Amino acid sequence: MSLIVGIDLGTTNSLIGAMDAGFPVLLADADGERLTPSVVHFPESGEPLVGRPAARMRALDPAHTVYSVKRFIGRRVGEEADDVGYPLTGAPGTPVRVRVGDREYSPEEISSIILRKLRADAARALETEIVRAVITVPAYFNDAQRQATKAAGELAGLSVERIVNEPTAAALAYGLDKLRDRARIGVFDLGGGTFDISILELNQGVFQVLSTNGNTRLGGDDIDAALVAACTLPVPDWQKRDFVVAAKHRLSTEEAVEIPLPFASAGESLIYRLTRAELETVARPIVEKTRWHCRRALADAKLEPADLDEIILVGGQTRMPLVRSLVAEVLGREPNTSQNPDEAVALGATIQAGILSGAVQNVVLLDVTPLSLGIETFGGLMNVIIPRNSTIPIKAGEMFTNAVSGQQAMLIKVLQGEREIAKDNWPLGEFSLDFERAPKGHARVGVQFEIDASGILHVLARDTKTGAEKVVQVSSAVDVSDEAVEKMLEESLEHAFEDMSGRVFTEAKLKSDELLPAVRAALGRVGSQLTAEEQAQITAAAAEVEAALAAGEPHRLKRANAALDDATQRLATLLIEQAMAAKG
Amino acid sequence: MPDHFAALDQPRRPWLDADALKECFHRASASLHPDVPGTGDAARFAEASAAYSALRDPVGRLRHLLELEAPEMLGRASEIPPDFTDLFMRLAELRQSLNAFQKKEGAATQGLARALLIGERQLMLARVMALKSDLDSSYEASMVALQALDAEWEPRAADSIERLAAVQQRFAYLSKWRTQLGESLFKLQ
Repeated sequence: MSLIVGIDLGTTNSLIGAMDAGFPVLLADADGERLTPSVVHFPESGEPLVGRPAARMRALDPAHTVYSVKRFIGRRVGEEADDVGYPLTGAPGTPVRVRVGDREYSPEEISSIILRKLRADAARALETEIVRAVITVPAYFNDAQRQATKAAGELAGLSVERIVNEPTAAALAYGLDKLRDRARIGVFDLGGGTFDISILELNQGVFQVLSTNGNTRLGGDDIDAALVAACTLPVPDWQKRDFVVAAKHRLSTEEAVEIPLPFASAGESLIYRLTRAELETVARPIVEKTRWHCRRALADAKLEPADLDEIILVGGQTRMPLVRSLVAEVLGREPNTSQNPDEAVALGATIQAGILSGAVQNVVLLDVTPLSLGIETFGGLMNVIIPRNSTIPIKAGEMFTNAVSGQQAMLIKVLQGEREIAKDNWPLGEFSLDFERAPKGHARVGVQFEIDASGILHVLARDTKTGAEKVVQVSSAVDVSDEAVEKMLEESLEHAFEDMSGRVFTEAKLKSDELLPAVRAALGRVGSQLTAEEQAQITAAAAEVEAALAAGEPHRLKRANAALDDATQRLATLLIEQAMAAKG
Repeated sequence: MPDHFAALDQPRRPWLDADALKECFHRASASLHPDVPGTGDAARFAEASAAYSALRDPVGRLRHLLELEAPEMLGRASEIPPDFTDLFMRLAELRQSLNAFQKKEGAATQGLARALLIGERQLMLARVMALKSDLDSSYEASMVALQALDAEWEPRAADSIERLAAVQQRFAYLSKWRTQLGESLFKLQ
């Protein structure tokens, strides 16, 4: 079995490791550094710079220096704020691309440049070719983000044997020397760009994740941006970042800092002053956002804070005292700081690589899928097929049948997320099922949804008659038409009220869809017994329902339905009378 | 129809010890998980994993036991057990007022408007907690009934299946209501 390396591909920093005589070891680059800043700089000519030398160029040449690209991996334009120093391109709804000079790169390509550097470092340190890897991702990454991360590895010449969740990896690092124990632990992982909370049960070498939650757009970067925004010194914003970040780091141990800025502006020397209390005022609203996710994860695991034996902190941002005190408050105990928050994830990735290669024995990881997987139902609701926090790998079958006689195909939309309204969830993609010609309800195709151990979806369709199975290509959601995506973006602006009104509309529409044909049918049967005035009233009420439907206004539609209902009271009475007369 | 009891080497009966069952799943995973070199077996791991999630909670376990032993009992129309009517009415009423309250709270964007609602929120919370405690007691009582049924499972009495169906039904209602109330509580806190 050939060597497999473990890689933590972080928003801010990346690391690589390998098993050595039963222990995970992180590998240093030619300069003796284990931490590689996840930054790529493209000089005027020559090869891109990666890591420390690239990070130094960030303030000097921001337009050609790409950082925090992990925020954009597997993302579409419009989903992520483009508040970075380098230009992003791409039409709304298409995958985000990064423009450097006159070239465009995908986030996968940028990531692959970082991965190549790590791969070369490891090959040099171990004096062997590296071709297989385990790469970590935030636990709350969706299918598209996982697939894109895997693609980045492949672009870097690596066979990606597994995508592992970062907090789970950290738990492996924590638990490797406690394999005889039983314990419940929480892993609180606040990095540069993402936040995850995972609850695990450790039982004699079995690491079972009970629940996970998080936010892939919450991290230390947000605190940095807020500090930049709050800094009133007469310095351009892009120059502020270096000193506000330095101040933030120092305030983890100091109460107040003064940073002289000798080159900030001509002839004038400035000093940046920040106290821990000021930092906390700026950071608190951001840090507070982790609270909800922690409570959700505990509730999903059906546990109380008191049930946890240990809280592990991961991610550089957990060095902040404010973060630690919030963790202690929400999870009910002082966090365990025995793990190096920058290295635990990479060590865990390395251990998982060791499990796969056989170098680590008697350890197995039972991870979960962070998001519910479902399909869009008739009426635009989400029908969950695999609930969140299900142990992976997992398979679930669903039977589809033709809704009308002779129907030849059916379009299935696959979604990930926790919202009731289908379109509020992340569309993973769609596929078409072919039916053979048959009477309604007789053509049947079974579809198997499988989430593999990396959290990636595979779909298999099986004809129940022939038993023939075929892998279904789920066409990626990023291929959907611009028009559809623009509509989605527009709607997401009204997000605040959408869930409620979206539901109101869906329900009202179902009612209208039932009512309108019924009214038409009833008019056909007994309409002639109505007065001209009654007929006109019904026609007007029906027209108003049609208009409200077309306008997509939920409350108007609800009112219109009610009015139509009222206007057709006499129709209903006539129908009943007619039925009674026929019976008698 | 898979036999989840067999998949985890468990006796086919109403009561299973939760810790012992978990232990059994973990030991099975330690050898069957596809990552384990040599003994890993994706198909058998999938069976064990599906079995564990079906058997771990009484409601799923009893439903599966009925599926295996008396599938005809499952399709029967069921009414709320008479002694649950009161719980049901209270829950329905509470959820309705919670919805109304949350709508009101959602509309209150100003600090002052929200502050005016705090008293009502406390009242809501107290009502949820009180009902939760009653639901929990009913759940505990059903667990006792389940253990009693299990004690007389073999040799099986003539009415065992009827009793199983009745207990299953109680668990089905209680689990659903506890989940609903848990969600309400989560939103309130």
